[in-house]
Amino acid sequence: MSVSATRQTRLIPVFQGIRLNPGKIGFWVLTLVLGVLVAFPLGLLVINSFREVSVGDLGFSLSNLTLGNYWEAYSNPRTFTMLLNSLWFAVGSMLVAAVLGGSLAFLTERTDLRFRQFIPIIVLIPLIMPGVVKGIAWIFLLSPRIGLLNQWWGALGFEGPLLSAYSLPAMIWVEGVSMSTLAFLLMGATIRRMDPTLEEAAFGSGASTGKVLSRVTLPLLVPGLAGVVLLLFIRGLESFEIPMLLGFNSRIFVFSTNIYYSLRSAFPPDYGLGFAYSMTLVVFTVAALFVYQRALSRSERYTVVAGKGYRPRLIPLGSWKYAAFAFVGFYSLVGVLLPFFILVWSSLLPYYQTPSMAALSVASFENYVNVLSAGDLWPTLQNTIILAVACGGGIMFIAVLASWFIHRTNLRGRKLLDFLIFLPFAVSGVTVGVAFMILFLSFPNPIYNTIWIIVLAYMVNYLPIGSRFTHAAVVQIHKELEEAAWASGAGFWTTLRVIWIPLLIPALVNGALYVSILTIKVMSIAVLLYGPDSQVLSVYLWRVWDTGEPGEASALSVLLVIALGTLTFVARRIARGSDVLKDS
Amino acid sequence: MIKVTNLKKTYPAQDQDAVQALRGIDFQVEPGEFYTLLGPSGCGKTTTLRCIAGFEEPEEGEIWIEDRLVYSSEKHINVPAPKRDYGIVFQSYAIWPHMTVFQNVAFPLVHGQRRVPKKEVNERVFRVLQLIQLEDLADRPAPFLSGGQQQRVALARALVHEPRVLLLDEPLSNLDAKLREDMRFEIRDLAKRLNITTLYVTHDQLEALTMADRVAVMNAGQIIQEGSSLDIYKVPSNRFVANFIGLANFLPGLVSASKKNGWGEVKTKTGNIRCAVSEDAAVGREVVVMIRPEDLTVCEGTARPDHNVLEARVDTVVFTGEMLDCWVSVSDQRLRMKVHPSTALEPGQSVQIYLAPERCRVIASSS
Repeated sequence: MSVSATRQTRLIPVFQGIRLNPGKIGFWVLTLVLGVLVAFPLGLLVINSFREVSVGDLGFSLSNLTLGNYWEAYSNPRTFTMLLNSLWFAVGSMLVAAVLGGSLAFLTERTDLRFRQFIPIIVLIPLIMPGVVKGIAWIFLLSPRIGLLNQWWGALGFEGPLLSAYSLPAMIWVEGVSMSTLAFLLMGATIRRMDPTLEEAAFGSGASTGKVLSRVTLPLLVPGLAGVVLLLFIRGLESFEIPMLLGFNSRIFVFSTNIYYSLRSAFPPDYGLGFAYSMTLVVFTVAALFVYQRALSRSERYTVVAGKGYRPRLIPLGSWKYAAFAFVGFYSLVGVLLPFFILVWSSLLPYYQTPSMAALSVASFENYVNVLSAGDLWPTLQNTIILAVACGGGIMFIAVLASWFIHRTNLRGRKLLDFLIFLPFAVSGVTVGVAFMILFLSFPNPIYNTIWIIVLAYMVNYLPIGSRFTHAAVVQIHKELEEAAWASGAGFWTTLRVIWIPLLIPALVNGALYVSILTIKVMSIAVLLYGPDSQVLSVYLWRVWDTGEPGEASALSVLLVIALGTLTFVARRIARGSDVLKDS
Repeated sequence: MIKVTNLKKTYPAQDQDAVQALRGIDFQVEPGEFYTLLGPSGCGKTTTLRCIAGFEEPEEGEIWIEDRLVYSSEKHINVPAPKRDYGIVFQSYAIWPHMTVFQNVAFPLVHGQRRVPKKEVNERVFRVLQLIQLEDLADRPAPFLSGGQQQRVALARALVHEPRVLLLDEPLSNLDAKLREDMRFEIRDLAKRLNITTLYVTHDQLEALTMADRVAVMNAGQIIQEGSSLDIYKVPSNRFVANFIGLANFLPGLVSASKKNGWGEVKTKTGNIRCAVSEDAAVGREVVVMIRPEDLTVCEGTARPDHNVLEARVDTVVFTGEMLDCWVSVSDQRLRMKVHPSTALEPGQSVQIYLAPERCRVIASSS
């Protein structure tokens, strides 16, 4: 009925009649906790960016207010170099990713290319490589003198390197290839969402394939694709690992690496500058996100009811198929084969040599033995497991409660809860790290320099992603399923135990694994917050690399990739298992 | 028995005035009676059912299930849904996808308010599965059921704890046409056999007419008319009801004569029409004459009644199998007419049509 359809949310009657009901209390406790964990740290960042701060003077205080930090930042010409680097880096990697991922998505979804069903596998495999690992692999490939690609380039008779790993173009290329997976997934989804009958209507009117593509398909896809491109831009702006590995030592700073430099690498740390940069980055990402949301709502307006199971018309490639094959081959090479190969290769050599039969004779597992017998690996591993498990469990627990409150009750203030959950998405991981740094430097507490501060920061950062899983799952469970349980005489807790949890478990496990994998892969937050006893694997790997042990770093990379590959495989199996519930 | 008095409910709307979903609903379903709430979408029928089930809280009124007051705004009584004793079948069936048929049906006995020993659970689940002819599918997982089977499982789950009241919320709207027809008779038959008090909510007039002992036609949060299907069809109280149940022609006019014996005349643009009038049809009053398409007849032969004969031109004739469905024009008024297929009618033809006075109903002009 239309009246009830317009309001999807209603207070469940179990809660009614009880004056101070447990649901309301739970809701406000959750909102308060998230307020402290999400809004308060970011508020501290805002305040302290306007204060003259030094170590020991951070906090929730309005003393020493000044615009000095911003003045210091923007009176320095290096800031503008950094800004330009950041923008070039973000725009460039966005373009590389969009072209690579977009072409692959188009080939997969809309052409008759043979074996196109394997393209998604090729594109998704790099997901199991953390950014640090990708950075290491590409340095082996593009290092000015010993880089494999540059050596091949020299062997062809060219002067100088093809591309130096320690340059902005190389950073753009590597980040672009890395983000092409995301571009492929999102653009593929955009293309799939289009109603094929819109195209068929154009064909039916007698238009040629070229006309249909240029006059109907492309204009229909533009808003959606624009949204994807903007999201790629935001991702590029926030990126940390590649700029760190490739650009840090040659002083090619972008936002994230410069913030890291000011806060943790420079001595003494320049808090004011770090905060001012963090705030500037927030302004940039929020603005970009605002435009992104606008683009997204426009593209949704374009979406005509789809998903009827019609397959859109496939475009015959003709002799273009050779070019397409060459392109896919090239992508497999740079996206998957070369990075994997060079890592395995260097992990087997005591010191790096260009691949050759002669070098193969000295290959051994010595690096692996060294890595695994290093004394500080095991505490690091322990920390990493704590991080992954605590974040996976904690995020999904908070997310499922929040999704339920937001979508299944009409409690006042659920908009606020929704906003708090979305907030970390609007600021980058680095910013969340900085905010947590301030939070725990401001108040005496036992968890600074322990793994738990890192756990909390990652939890906040990935809460939006976790809640996407629970949001989808909660919305998918028809309200009448729980009403049927009440009508059968089951109370709140029985309904929760017998109906809700079993129905949500697949999504919860899936989401937990997904965010766990992210916490293992991404180092931008941990790198700001780690202490001597609270290293995690990503940071540890980067430090092994940075202290000049490329062989051991490669061996550790290979092991990490195998572990992440296994986890990802399990996650995908579970995701497939949960599809059974989707139809009902 | 279900008794609802003066039920009122308002929904807050975000960007407009609040929606008054229920504006004072009163009705009583007698023990063992099959009672239907019929109305267009948005009329408040489902809201009424959900208030009775305890999923919505009304703002005013009282609700009784059997002899128990389950809601009263005045006495601050609001029994939560699990503690009200009834069975319900939802429009979506709401069969839990992570359970088998048996687990679904056994749920009220295992997790509900009236739990029974394990042995009895088995016995009662199979008894009710037998009743709806699904005993072979007890171990089948819910996602592997067809729509019709899910419907039966939902019925079994609603009946397994032997409630005295059954609530059905558009249970047939997701079935295909043939199955829907079978289930209409089956559900009514089952309810009558179990002698269970049934409240049935639907927007389908055919379901209401064929299944219910009594029908309440609802619109805009109010019950417009209540009565047996035949009464409502024959004597609709206003234009909305006449239109919602069956097809109707309307001829606006003024009452020109009203006699004590129940006969009167209405002066319309196409002449005076003799018809049955009720006592409040005072001379000079603006009214509408309602006549069903099947009550129009074509005058054949030479003998003509001296009243209610209109000169008409045939516009369209559609053969639908059991009848001819026609549109005819009487001056500028178009009338729908359904006649026996043996009638000789051609588009463009001039005919005289007869409106039997006893079938012409005078109803208020504003609905």
